[in-house]
Amino acid sequence: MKLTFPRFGDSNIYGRLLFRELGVDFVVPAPNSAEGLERGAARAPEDICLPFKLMIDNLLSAWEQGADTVIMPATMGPCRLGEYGELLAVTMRKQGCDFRWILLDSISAIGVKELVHRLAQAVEDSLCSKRQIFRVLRKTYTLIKEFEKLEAEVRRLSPYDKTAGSSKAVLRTCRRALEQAEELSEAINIVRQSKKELHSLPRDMSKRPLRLLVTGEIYTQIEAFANHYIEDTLMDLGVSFEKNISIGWWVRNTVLNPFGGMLAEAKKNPLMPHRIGGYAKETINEALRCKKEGFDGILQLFPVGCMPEIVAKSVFDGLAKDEGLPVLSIVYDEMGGEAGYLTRIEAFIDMLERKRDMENVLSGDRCRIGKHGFCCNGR
Amino acid sequence: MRIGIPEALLFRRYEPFIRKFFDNLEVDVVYSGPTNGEIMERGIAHCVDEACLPMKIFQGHVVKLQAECDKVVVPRLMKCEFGDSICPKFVGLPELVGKGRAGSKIIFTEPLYLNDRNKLRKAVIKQSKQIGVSKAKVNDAFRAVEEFVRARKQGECYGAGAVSSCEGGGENTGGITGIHDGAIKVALLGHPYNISDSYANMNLVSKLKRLGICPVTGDELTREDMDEQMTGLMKAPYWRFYRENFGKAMALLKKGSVDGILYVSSFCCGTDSVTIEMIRSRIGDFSMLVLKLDEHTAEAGMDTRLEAFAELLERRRQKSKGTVPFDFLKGEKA
Ligand code: SF4
Ligand code: SF4
Repeated sequence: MKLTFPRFGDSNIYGRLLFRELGVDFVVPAPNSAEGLERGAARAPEDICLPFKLMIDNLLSAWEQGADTVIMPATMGPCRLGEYGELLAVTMRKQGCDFRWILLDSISAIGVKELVHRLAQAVEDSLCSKRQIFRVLRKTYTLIKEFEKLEAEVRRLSPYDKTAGSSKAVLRTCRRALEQAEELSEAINIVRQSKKELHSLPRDMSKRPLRLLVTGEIYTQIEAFANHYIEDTLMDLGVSFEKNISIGWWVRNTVLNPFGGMLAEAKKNPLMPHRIGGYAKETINEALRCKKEGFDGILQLFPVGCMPEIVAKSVFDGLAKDEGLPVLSIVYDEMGGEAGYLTRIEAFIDMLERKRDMENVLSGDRCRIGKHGFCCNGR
Repeated sequence: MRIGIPEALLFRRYEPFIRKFFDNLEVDVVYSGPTNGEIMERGIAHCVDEACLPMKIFQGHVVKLQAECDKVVVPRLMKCEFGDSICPKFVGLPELVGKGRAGSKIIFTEPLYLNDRNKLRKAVIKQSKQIGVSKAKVNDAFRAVEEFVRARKQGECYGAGAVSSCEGGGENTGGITGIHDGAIKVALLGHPYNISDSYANMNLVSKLKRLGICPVTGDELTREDMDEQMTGLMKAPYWRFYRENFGKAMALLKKGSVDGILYVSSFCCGTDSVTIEMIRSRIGDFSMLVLKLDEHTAEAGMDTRLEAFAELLERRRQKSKGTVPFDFLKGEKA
């Protein structure tokens, strides 16, 4: 058996190391690319969301490399991810790729027993004992956590670099090294090493970059190709930003804490009182936080036609109109149009900078180096 | 207090029950009436650009009512009567159309689970407080509706909204769902709001009639008939109209009672993109036309496509007279 799953940000790094350690054959699909998207889109139903089209290409690529089994996480609606599995299977079969499918559905849909059974299928080739498997899983999670912490720091610190782009370079080198790593412990060490390196870079902390919050649809946020490498763009433009929705976040909320959904539902949110599927409520939650913690603006990312995020955008539109919350919604479609996105982001950042200068003139000088927004610089 | 009820989205489907309920509450109710050009324009102006046409139309109805009434009913439908969900936009409907301060007039936003009697009753009672109706009265009205539901045959309440409301009410379409020989029969599928809103779909049903096509909506099919068709899927679908349209398509095909499928969808519809593809994957080269509606849909283009489709069906029919139209069914019957 050769296992694979569609690319999802850095999931291929984690997946490769995890299954390697378990002794299960794992195939890493080729990275997403414009050609790949074209190939996927040509075979996917029109009007389906972008992630689906990319996944088709991923699976085709995995099939070419000899994979024969796919693990797909699936949830119980109302969004499309839950129905993806079936349609993916049909589409792949049409292409002559007869995969075996392991759908990891939510407990409410298939029951605990079935879920355990399905998980066991995934590791049936492994010689490890249950204890060992558990240990490997824990290690993988540590790796995810560590790497995401590094990412978060780079996002926050990169605008303070004395030599522009040096933080970004650390992250890139680290990712490269991880792709080559042989085992989990080695990978964790690489990340720790990179973090030290990052901290030793010369910085100019008197700079005052804008602080943005990036939020929106989960796939688009995690898979850099789907958001046209917006993180690199933002780092190049010299803004500091936060992005909280990540693989680790997803694992924490759905796998480690099966009641995460219920908790999220219970969380008070006057603007979006119920979970509507996808992660729209979380998007709005984040935005409310943004107001409290003194971010300068919000970037909402989602693929064209994404149902829950359209609702979230509607809420944002209202907030923008009534309270002047600065939000830029970027809707990605298949057409490249790199320049178009860049212009809009630049214009947005310009606008925010001007706005901030105005505010500073009006209310005396403020600095915003501290992690939690405003602090008076003594004037 | 005047209460506005938008006649859009699933209103037609649940119309008799909604009317009965509010009649029994004895409150001042205004219905927004069928969609027209003005409603559509207002909706397009007020709704997020990325939304699909049915949502823009709904927004138009709400905007119209907001001007005329003190409160506007915007339900939050979580689950339908069989426990299926519809689409994230329905769950977020109050947020989608009631953004910002304009949202203050919106009521009835408590989650509705039509498959859970107690939850539904509690939600309705809670909501009715907002309009100052006593619990006893709501309870009575709720019970009256329940009686009403029980008194109806399944098919009746199911399809109440689909074709009968197309034009001229029930009388005009008396024969149209009935299957009579001779005419070309086409399964008319899609979300009920696309089928029943004759402004949005540009009088599709009368267009079909003019072309000599008899639309079959499959409203007589029961839930069991449709569920039967789900066998063989890896996972039971959870979208109401995925189940319904997929089920209807398969059931009608197996009966051999239609010559083609006409699927009315909206641009950027998330659920239809899956449904249509799943139907396609099952029907082989059986004729299927997908019409997608949005505010830019041109009537002329639609006419041409319908005419071409009618011709195609006619030709195929001449060819295959007397033979079983689908090979894959032969195998199954044997
Ligand atoms: S959240 Fe958006 S992109 Fe993701 S499956 Fe749903 S509609 Fe598609
Ligand atoms: S099901 Fe489709 S047409 Fe209906 S509201 Fe959702 S996206 Fe729009």
